[in-house]
Amino acid sequence: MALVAGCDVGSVSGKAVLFDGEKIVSSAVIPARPVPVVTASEVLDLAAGQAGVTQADIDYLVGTGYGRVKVPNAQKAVSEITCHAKGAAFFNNDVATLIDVGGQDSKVISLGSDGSGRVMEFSMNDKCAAGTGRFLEVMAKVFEIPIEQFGEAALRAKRCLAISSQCTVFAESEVVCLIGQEHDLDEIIAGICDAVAARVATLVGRVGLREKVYMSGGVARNTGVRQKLERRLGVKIWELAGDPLITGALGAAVMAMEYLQGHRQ
Amino acid sequence: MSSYKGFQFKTYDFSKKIDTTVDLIDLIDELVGGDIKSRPEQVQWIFDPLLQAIEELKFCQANPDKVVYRHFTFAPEMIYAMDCVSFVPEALTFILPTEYLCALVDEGRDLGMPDHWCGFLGGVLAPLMYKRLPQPKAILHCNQPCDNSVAQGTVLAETFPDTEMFILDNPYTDDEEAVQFCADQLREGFSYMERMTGNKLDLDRFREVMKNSARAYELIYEINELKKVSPCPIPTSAILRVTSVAFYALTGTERLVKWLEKHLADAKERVAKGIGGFREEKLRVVWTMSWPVFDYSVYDWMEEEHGAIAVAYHSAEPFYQPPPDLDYSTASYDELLRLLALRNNNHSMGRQGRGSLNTFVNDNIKWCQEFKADGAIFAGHWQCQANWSSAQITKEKLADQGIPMLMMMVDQLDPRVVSSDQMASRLDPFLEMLTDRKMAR
Repeated sequence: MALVAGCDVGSVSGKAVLFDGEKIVSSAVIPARPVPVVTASEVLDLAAGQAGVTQADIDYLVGTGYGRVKVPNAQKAVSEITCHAKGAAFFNNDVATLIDVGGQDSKVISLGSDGSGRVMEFSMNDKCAAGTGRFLEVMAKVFEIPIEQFGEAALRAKRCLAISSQCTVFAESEVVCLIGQEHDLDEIIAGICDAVAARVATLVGRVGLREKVYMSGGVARNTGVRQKLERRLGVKIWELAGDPLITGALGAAVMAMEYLQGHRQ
Repeated sequence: MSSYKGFQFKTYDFSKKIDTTVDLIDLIDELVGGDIKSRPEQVQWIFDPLLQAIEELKFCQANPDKVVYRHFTFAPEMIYAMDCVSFVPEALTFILPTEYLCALVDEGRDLGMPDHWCGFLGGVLAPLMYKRLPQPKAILHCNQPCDNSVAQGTVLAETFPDTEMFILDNPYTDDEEAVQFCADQLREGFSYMERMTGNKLDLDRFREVMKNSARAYELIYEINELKKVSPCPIPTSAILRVTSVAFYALTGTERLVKWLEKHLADAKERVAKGIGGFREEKLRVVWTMSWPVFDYSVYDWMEEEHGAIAVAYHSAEPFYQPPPDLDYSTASYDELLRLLALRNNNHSMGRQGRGSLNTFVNDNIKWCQEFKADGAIFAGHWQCQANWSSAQITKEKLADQGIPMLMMMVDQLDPRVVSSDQMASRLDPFLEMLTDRKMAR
């Protein structure tokens, strides 16, 4: 059986998935190294090792993410938009709108209704940290709490304080002021999550909302952001039937199999 | 070199100290003209409109009494008819090497130009205000609804207080009344020109200019008809800079007509042989607003990576309206004025900038449909508010026709706003999407 791989080199993490055409054989996620080539090599080695193989055993490799051109030995580099759509459709073939909020960008993808993962429309924000994982990281540093605790804090809050969604730098100043004024920390965090949701909801508006809506990327695990986004969009946001963090790498692996089998040129 | 998927885009050295006080016309002549003249003769002819434009700039330097400033959407035919030569300050930014342009923009900002103004005025603000450009005998301006255009009018008025300005009020509609409205103003414009230049309008000369102008439009229409064929015999990217210079600046000249005749013959030969551009045509795209001027290698990358051939550029392509049948040897002044008004109302960017958004949207639908576009790209020149206001509706109307449109922000001239890599990061998924759509059909 053929073995292919997808490698997603992001700004915050590197992800790799090995795929046999029917199921995920192995996957790995590591923090991003300063040099994308190193990130790609290490995460592929890790994923291959988990599968009991080496990189040499991979029949076809597709790179994606901002560092996709740096994935060594990749036969193809494909955009994250295309790969995330493919990966999400593999997890759940009823994805109509996919919201991906990553470390340094956010995107909304409208998928075709045939379950193939074909992109119909997309919108992305990669010029500004507001509305991305970076925004949440900056805020987590202000609170000196792990970012993984943000979601629970937001859900505990009785109300949501308004925080600027226009600029991470300004928002950080606002948050510091609010903390100094001794506002409830959970309510501030709820406001931060809502600020991210507000930015993402704007992107959804540009693409058009179709159900079912799913989230991918690291921020998908933030229950606070997801809840705020559900309220703003007025729809339920479903969880993918797999790790949202590896959606892009999985999509790249699915593409790799399509290329290998000659379904795509 | 910056690269995207291994493709080498242009890079710039902004650390180099640039002397912004150099004569810009001499600089363009040396760098741009010199580069064209160093190419093999069989290729040089392709760039002749650029050489012609540079020669006109040199002529302005040597003949200050004939220099008439013109807004870039004001048709040049009037000026040629008055035996003068037009000088469009903003046009320099289109031709200047990028590092010089950026240094001039920075100089403009030092003068207090707001950050949100684009490079078109920014690149010439300082040279204008410090009078480093040829001085005008007359100034033809218009009410193009663009921050830069409006500001430029004020700058020109304040910089040349002793030079009366003629301002054309572009009509809102496209009917016969609009043509007459424009023609009546152009009549006043000629009186103004006679007063300012001391020349008398020679009717035979005006006839000759309008005959050349009409012929130029007939020829580009024929060329564009051929470009609708697949594979496109002349991807617009190959000659975009040249045709846009030609139709913004040189219509009315015999030299342009000769170039277009050669261009048409080349296009016919390519169609007869089934020859396209340098790379295999897999996708056809139309650029529906502006286009990045600072790095043409982006178009090469699109072709190389995705086989995406740019077949038309809306704002650069002249809008074809068949000129009325006219005997140019006997045409009356009124008939010529009407023809010039028609020409002026449909000038590239002028047509799109005035009037209802319907014009912009419907023209784009027409271009995309007739050129069989697989997709459209709206590269919105930032701060071009009049055109950005049309972006979403254009996208929706094209979507109704089954044509996806990508919206992205650029500065046509300044790569510091959006770089080639950033453009490619938008274009890449869009072109992948178009390819998938085509495969699924």
